Amino acid sequence: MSYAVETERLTKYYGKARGIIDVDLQIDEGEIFGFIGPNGAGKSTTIRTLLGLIRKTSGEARVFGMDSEKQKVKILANVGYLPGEVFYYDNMRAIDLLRYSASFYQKDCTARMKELSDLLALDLNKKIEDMSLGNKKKVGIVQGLLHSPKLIILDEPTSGLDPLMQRTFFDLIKRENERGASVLFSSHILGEVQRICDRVAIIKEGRIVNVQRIDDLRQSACKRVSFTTKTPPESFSLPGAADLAIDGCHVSFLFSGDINALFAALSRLPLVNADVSEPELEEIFMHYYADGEAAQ
Amino acid sequence: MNVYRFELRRTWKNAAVWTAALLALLAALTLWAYPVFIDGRAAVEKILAGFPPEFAAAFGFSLDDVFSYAGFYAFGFLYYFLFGAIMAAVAGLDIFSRENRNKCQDFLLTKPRGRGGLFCSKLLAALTLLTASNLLFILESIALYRNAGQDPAALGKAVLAASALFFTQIVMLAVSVFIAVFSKRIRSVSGTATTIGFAGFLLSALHSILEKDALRYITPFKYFDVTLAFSEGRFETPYVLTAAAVTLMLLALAFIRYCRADVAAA
Repeated sequence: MSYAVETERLTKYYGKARGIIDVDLQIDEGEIFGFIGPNGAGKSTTIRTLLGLIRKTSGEARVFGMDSEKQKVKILANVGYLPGEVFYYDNMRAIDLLRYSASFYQKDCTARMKELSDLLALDLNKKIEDMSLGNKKKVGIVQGLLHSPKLIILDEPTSGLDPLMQRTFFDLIKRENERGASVLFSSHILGEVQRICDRVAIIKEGRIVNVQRIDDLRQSACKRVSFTTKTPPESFSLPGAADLAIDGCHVSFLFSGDINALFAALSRLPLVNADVSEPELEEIFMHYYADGEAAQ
Repeated sequence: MNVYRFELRRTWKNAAVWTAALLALLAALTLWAYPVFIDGRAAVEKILAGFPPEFAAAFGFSLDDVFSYAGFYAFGFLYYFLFGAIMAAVAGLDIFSRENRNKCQDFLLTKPRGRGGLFCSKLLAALTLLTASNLLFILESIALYRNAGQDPAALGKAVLAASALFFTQIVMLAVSVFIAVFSKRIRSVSGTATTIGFAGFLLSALHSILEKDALRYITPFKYFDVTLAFSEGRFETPYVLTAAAVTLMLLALAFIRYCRADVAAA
């Protein structure tokens, strides 16, 4: 089985500061692979090492079986990259930037450029510096995909895109995936990753702590539940509830388990208000690690 | 070639303005100031006699030869060097700090092109600008030389003297490329380039006043002696070698840094 991306004990230190430690990843060809972790966990460091933007301290990193440092140029011909924040040259129209970008590839990207910019409703004749954050991001998407890359690397790609455009973007990525492209999608928003990824790697403090199928993660993922009752409850307990806090009439906890049992329990209470939402990533981590430590 | 063309397109206008200023200065000094200077020789000598000799030295001339065509041409060179150094520094800083200034290293460095190739394309673009500019400078120098009725047999020496600007600009380009690559961020290309140019000018003035040979080895404006080129048709080998060594060393260090440096997220 050949991998789109494969790392073995990949380690990067910035001087003495930790970047990533012993990162092992295998991303199958044709897979949409999520990469999730809080800010500073090492997602961007991993990605930048794969792209040859930074040099590894030790370990191995291969893209399509090629060494990420020695065969960087060959690799980059087949990689499209969209960073979290997009910056381009000043005093340049989008069309000029995209033509310059296309000139690096041994193929005619004109039709693709037009197709993508039409899809994203992007005005190519506008100067990039005059564009809104969202439109700059669209320029980034077009320049990252105009050469029909075999591997798409997305590093926090949705910041600045409105919900409608996010949907278009995810549809586009899914389409690229159906065309055969592998995708590495880094994010700190769990919902985003759940939306399109097949598997996800969780990284914390520079180390991969788990690689799971999204379906499995979804089952084990917890929800933040909070509700308010008419009168203060004397007590509240429910299998799967953790981090329980009762403050007068207000109760909140993290819940992982059978959602039907949750609603059955809530229905027995004199509720004024109730809210079930995605927890913050940090909460999932805490929950996750608490479970992990308990299991050990 | 795409990076080369891109850089040329973005820098040629600035280089053209500097070239025009340089050519205008050369023409103004030779066609207008020199005749006035010659006509007023007695008065000039009287005025300068009242100043200490260091004053004339600092501004690049000696009374012994400034009234000859070659001497006056060489005197003008201190200022051509200043203009040329700023122009070369603008080109080097602008081209080599472009991605850093615009925070778009990620864009260029994730394209399928080796960093060594990118460095060479950028350097070639800067060299093209300086070559084109100096061709015009040399052509104008030849025209002015002929116009002044100077010895046609010595034209080769005059051309060599004029080429001192090109060689000095190459050294200053290397200095600016080194600074651009090693700086965390160049905030103002023109401000930094002017500082580099005036640093060269001040070193040159300092060397003229102190006349210390050791100082000349770190004074790019003094590597190529225009007066000597005009009179003897040669530059001094130790300083030519120093210029070559400094240029190659700075470019080699910049190349290694450009190829190997980690690129932090913007």
